Amino acid sequence: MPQLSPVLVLLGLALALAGVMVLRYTWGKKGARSRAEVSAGWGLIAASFVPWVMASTPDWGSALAICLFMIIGVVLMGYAAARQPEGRKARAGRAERAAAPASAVPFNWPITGRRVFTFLLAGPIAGVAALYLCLWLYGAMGGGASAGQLMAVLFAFPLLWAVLSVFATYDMPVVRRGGIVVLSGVLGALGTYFVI
Amino acid sequence: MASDTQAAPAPKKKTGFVAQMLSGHSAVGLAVGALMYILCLSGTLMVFHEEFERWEQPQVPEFATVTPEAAGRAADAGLARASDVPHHFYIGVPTDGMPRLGISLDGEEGWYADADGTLGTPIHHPWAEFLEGLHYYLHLPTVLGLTVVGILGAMLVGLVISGLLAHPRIFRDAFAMRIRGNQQLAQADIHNRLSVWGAPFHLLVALTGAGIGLASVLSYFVANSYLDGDIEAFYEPVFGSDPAEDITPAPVFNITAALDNFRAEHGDLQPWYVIMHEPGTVGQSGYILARHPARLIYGENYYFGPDGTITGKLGHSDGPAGQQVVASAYTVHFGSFGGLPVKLIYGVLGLAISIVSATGVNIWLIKRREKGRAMPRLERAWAATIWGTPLALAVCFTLPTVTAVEGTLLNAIFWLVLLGLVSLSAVVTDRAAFARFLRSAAGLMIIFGVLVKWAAHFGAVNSPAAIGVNVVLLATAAVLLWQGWPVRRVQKPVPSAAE
Repeated sequence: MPQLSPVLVLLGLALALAGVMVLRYTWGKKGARSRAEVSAGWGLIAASFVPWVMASTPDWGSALAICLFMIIGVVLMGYAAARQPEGRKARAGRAERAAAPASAVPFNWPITGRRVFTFLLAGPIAGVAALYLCLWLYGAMGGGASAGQLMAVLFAFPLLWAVLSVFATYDMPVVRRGGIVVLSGVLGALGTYFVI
Repeated sequence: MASDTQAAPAPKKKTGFVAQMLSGHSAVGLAVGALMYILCLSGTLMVFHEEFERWEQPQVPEFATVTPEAAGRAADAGLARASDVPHHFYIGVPTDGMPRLGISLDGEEGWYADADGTLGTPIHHPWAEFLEGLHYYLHLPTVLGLTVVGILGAMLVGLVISGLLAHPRIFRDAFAMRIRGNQQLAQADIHNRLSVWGAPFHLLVALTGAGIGLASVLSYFVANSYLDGDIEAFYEPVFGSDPAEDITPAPVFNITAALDNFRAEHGDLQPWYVIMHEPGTVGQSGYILARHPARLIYGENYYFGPDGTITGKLGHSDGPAGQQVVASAYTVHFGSFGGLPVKLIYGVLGLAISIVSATGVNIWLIKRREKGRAMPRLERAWAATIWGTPLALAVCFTLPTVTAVEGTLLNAIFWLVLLGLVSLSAVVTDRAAFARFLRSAAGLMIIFGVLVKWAAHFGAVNSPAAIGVNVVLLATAAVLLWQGWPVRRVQKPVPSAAE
């Protein structure tokens, strides 16, 4: 860990803490919340990056600022949990329902088929679609091989797969979500074909 | 001022987009829940990989720096022990995280050395290797395992996105925490609060992990589409490439002079490894991998010639932005960019994401119970997974000390213990008691493992990290025992699978 200016470190810490506390204040209020206060909170958190970056480098300083912001939030959350008074017990009706034995449900082929299709759509099919889109992206970024191309596809592949899997499991007609995923893949394949 | 405020949305039934998104979030979470939990928990432990290696061999001498002459002597002695020309030869120079001098032939056989460069204890850390195999590959064959882990990373990215979209009030409720009383509410609050505060971490860790894991598949298809099947050409712009092989014997490059010259030219940088390719041959090459303070990149390669002259560098530190970003993926994923303080933060956030994985499935199980569609077998199996994983991990870090079990057998034992506990959950009747038993067993096993380790190295501990790891392990065991204590009064009206 390199030596950092204690003044800048304390300033970054203070700004992050102040930002989170402002958010806590405004989000904790009942009824209307002030946009100005929310903006001030996020603004202070964003400003807390500056001392860290000034004390070190943009990449490393930003990473530390993010870590600090998250840990402040987790600590405040732990504090909120610790000082929370004993809550109401669950309603008796719930407890009774909880204890009720599960009723036997007959095997339902259409539902099972839809689940299997959703799994295939979110998994392998979305993966192949994301892969084709990435191949297109790689080719569209120019010939040969470059660090920029590698970086782009390395992170675009899981990101696209994730987004397509969200669509694949979205609660809408099977044909629509299937269409979105499959068409994405077809688009990627066509793009790759024409780039090659 | 009306324009300065916005009305707080009244709680209402989830409709439209939110309900649809929540449905997708649940579907993916349930599909990958168990493996995701194991990956998150093992990833949290992997953050302390170096500390575990030091804990496993606490008797090895530790020192902050080493002279180039001593490193050179250790390298000569290591090469002399090689039966064949090693493809890659590593000299690990003491750093803040790993203050030891080590020599490794192809990463398979290696020895630690003392401050004079005299080789001593063979490098042997079966637990750390087990942990690495679990988190990187889920103990599957290399490429398959990496790909499966990468897919789980991509699913985690999707879960973060859908989770944020499915909870429009997630930021506004970021400080609300109702852990007492209604169990579903408590589990949902823990799940949502940890998710929102850890969101940047979850997203970055998932994306970098998925990128690393899926790189093999991606490189294969990119290479075959654009690079005439040359997979190395895909990685070359970022990681460089080895020179052409020529195994005609030649004098080994001067490692001592290389380290001397490096210190003279880059005194502000910390050498980490000296890595040689085909040492002692005409086709040999070598570079010093050095850490750059206050940078996210894992390091920069400084190449040297036969006489130890530094001839250039690869470009991780000042090359194209893409190269710098990719070179930062590993450190961002494992939190190895800011010493122990950042590792501790990553430990807390890693534990948080493990809890998020567990509570996600808990919420679904409780909801089913409350709708009168309880799945008691699945609840018990889930409890066995949640609390059986720490127990199986504790078994695996204890076994190598008391027996010769390691490698594939140790990997198999982990999965067999977990499978056994999940199977056992099918015949137990009291889920809560079963979960308490597993917590207690995990706590006792950790204490047993620490005591065995302590007894095995009594009076020969040179590593402060080993003592630190023991303290953390004992604290973890105490928490598990407290949570598992059968006579403790428990006030949980509707217990979850992992209460």
